Amino acid sequence: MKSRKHLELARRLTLRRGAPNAPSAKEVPTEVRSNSFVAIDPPPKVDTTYAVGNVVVEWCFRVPHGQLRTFVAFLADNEAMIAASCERLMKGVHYRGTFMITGDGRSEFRTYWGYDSSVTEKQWEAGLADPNSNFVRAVRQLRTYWLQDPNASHRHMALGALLGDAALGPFFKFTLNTAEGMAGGTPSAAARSGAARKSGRK
Amino acid sequence: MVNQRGDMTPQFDRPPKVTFAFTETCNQECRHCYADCRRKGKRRELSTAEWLKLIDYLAENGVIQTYIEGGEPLHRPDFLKILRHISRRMMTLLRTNGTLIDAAMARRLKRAGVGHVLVDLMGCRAETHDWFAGVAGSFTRASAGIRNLVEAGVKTDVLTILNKRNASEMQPILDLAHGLGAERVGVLRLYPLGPVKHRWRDLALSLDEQMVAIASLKPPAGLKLMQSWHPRDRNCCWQSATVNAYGDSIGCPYLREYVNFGNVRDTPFMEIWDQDPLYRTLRAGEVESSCATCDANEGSRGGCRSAAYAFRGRWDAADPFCPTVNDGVDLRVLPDWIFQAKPRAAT
Amino acid sequence: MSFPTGSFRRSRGLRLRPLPEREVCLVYVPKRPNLYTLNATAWMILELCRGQPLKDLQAEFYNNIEPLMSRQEAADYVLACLNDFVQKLIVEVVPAAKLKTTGRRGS
Repeated sequence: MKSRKHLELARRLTLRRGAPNAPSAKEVPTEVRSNSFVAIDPPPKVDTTYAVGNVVVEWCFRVPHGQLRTFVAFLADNEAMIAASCERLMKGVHYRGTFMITGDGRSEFRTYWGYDSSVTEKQWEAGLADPNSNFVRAVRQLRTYWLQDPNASHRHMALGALLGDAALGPFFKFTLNTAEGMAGGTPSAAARSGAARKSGRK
Repeated sequence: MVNQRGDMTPQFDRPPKVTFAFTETCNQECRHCYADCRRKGKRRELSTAEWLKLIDYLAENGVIQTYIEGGEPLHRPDFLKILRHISRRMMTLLRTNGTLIDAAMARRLKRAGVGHVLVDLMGCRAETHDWFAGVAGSFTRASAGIRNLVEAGVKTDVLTILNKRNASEMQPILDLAHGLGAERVGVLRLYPLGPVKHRWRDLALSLDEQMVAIASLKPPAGLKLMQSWHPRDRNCCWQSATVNAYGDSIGCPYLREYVNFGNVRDTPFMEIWDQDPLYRTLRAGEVESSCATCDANEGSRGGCRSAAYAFRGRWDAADPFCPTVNDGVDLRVLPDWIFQAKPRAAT
Repeated sequence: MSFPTGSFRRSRGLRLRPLPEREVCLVYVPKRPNLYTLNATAWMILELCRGQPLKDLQAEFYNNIEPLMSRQEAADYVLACLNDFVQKLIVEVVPAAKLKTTGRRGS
């Protein structure tokens, strides 16, 4: 049964990278420069290029029906420029488009920005530096539509697959620990229980 | 460039490898010995049965490699029996003074399944090496030991400890090792442990002198150099597990005078690994600052914890052996507290 | 190297130490003492070596990773990996008749 468990673990790790890497079996370079050291590289970062961004910012807003055609024309004229400007001015910030929720007649829009990491947001300082640039004027116009809606929202989202590695923040971690404690302990604590350890006691 | 405070993640749930500081007995009287070894043990070392039991326990808990050093492991008459037991289950690296390895012993080591042998050479000539070993003829026997191992088909390396008395012989040691058939040479730092502390003024080089010595080395083609100076300063504690000759779990042999996390005669090794707070702290690798270049090259943070503690008195201090974060620490000068019977830095 | 006949199983005495936190598996080969790091793909192939012939092994590997690769790509991965494993004594090729009389080994 241990082998089935190991096979499943190996399979899971193989697939989490997307297409499997070519198989490799490398001799372990154990060095002695003081104590011995087994060189085992940390796994490569997960490739998240499939995602809109590792951090996604969403602007949600409604455009009055009377302004809808003007707004859609604004998007057609400016989106490509906004996207290209992001790539030039702000490393790691990507414009991912403005979408209308169709079918319900409410003329609600969502604008998405994708960031490569949580620190990328600081790049906006460079992007917004010149108030007269085409880019800033277009973003200002876009944001004006957002400002006009008293019920507009602005949300930050982080890619779920990365949350294990990224800093969740102390209070979120505290909440998780509390919830797991209520459920009867964390998985790692269970693995350390006497049942899982091979005992060496006399 | 200096990295600010941080730690290293993830950590191992269980160690994949363990060092056995197998014995504090030896057939030599090395002036650079960290353990103050004698021909007869100072107190009761782990017995054969205790070692075998520990090895089985560690194998069941996932350990797959051991690094065995001493004293001189071959000085104990039960060593080969224990080596055979280990090598069935784990990759073995053996550090030895080489003087007890005649051709027959080299073949016995090969048959016993040893993976890699590392032989200490403290000089490229008898005068230097024998001074360190405290025994005339040690250099000749150690060199012969290396040759015997290579001829028996055992992967063989050479280790040396850089200091004032042999710094000018580093390149010749590399050349000699290559000529004897060694695959790698490890140039190790000098640590203020054991009797070495009392010879520190005689042996210690300044950091600048050490960096010059390392930078000047040109390994012959086919010989690999192992060293831990910038930009290859590494923090090993995150994977370190060591049991000494008396059964004490001490993390790393270079922490031997500063810590004792528990004795495996009383407490199972994995309980010590899981529960000792200082041991867990050292493995988490939190450091107040570190060299960004060494961190990037080595995938760890902050360099050697033993050196940081010895010279700065704090477990999370930066390793002063890296020029980037040395901050003016003179490696030729030891703090007073280190000469205590049980050295502990003031907190 | 090709393996027209025979089956694959782990070498006698092989020891494995999974390191999921590094996404690799360490493998110790006592016969010719050496320690290897297997990436996840190689580890999976090793776990599949339970005495099947090559074609069955290739099919089982494909079934575990489809649709991410074609059958041919999967078969090529397995063959290249087994060639490497045999050279390194991680895996041995056993005549089918002999396999029936012996049990599983390695851990």
